[in-house]
Amino acid sequence: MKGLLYKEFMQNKIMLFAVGFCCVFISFFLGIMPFLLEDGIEKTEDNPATIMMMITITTLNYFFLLLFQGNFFQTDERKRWAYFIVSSPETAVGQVRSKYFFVLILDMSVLIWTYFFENIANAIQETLTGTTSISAILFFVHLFLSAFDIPFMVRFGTKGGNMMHTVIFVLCIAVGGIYFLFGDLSFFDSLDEVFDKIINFVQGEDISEWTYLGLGLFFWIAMGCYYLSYRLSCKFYLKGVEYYAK
Amino acid sequence: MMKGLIYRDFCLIRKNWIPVFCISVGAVIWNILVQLSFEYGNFKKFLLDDPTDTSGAGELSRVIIYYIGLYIVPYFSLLLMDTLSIMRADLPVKWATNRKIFPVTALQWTLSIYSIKLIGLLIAVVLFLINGSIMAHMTGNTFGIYELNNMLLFACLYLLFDWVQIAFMVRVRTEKEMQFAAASPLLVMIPLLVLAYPKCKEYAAKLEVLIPEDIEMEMDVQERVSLTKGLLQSEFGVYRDAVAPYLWLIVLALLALGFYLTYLGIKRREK
Repeated sequence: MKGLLYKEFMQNKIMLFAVGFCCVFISFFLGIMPFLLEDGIEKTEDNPATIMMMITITTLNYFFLLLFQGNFFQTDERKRWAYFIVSSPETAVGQVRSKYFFVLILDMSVLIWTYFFENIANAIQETLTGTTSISAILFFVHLFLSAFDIPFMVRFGTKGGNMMHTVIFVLCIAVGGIYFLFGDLSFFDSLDEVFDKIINFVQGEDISEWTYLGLGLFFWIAMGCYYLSYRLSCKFYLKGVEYYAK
Repeated sequence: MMKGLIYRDFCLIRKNWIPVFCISVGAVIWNILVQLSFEYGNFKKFLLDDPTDTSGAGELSRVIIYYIGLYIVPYFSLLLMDTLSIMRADLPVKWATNRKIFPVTALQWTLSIYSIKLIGLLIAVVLFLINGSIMAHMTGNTFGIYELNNMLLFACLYLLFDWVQIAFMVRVRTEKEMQFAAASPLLVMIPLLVLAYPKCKEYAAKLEVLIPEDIEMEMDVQERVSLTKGLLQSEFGVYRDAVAPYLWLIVLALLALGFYLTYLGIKRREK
């Protein structure tokens, strides 16, 4: 298991660097640059703009991780390797487990990075944003999405997985577009209220007990889905090998 | 034999055709939905029926969206005429050499490639006609030979780029040379863009005057809308009208020239 994890890190060095670079660049570019400019955002305590900026940065960081995720699976898409690992004592379970641990480690790294960066940004912006709660929620959202994403990549290869990404993305855009053309857009009038609610949530104000209960349940469901997805992927691994090009 | 060759080319190009076709059809559907929104949806509510808008901004945006929607479809669908991927897929399997064991002549091979190109052009024209006629019916605009000529001008431009690409491609033997051949239309595109830049700037400045930013402009709303329509329709019309009757012939001549060039290149490679 340790060896397979080490292999993952060695094989995906370049992609890890790319994800890391994107996260660091976006964080510094959006999080600190506007405050260093002369006409940039004003440094005030509890500035809503700062909080929204931190939420955007955190979301983008997880988005980059999700975007590059397919590449971590592509590196092992060789029939020779697949049959070798299945015949070794690790078997397909070890191979799939190492992938799931690898994604989990990267997910945690992004969580730690956003927490670390928030402290740096707060020190520079002279404010206290407290967006760790959003980061934690996004951590579980990413786990939840990966739980659906990874089995497809294992069963149909990364090409099939990417196809699914594209289909979901196009469907979301289409549904969003149609809603924009014909749906009820009255919530745009009360957009300030929506932002206020988000900021209150981040700062821990006006949150009902039901919200806490829902979030707690969601965390458990996300973890359960991730485990179930791991069990499914173990079953699908050898069937997916037929879809590999080499 | 020809049937088999065309089928083979379809198999090679299907990965490029499917997304381009889906995007083109998607663009047609999206245009219809946008026009429906101007009739019954949010665009009507926020742009056309806005009581605070006295400058005709809603009407003007409908005109501009109509023209963008009309010409965005051929912009995508003309990519169906791209046959580079057939030739690119032929390289690794050494089709140019292996062809000699089949009773396939250079003429037949060129004909099959150009059949795909013609089918692509036909699909692009049909999609443009469907999109244009539905949109024009919904907006009350006229749609006819004038708009079709504009689309053919697009096709001429595309065939010009294609012609340059073929000239390079018939000499290609390696993947690196293929990449250079794929980028070769830039040799025509960059000078054309440089030449067109001052004209485009002038055009944009004229359009900017007509799009109202200040609510209290002296010009009447209908007058401004008709002026914008006229500008969008006729700015390049002078050049286009001079060649309009011969546009089909120009498209066919460009296709024939490309065909002859490809045939010559394949023949030369055989020697």
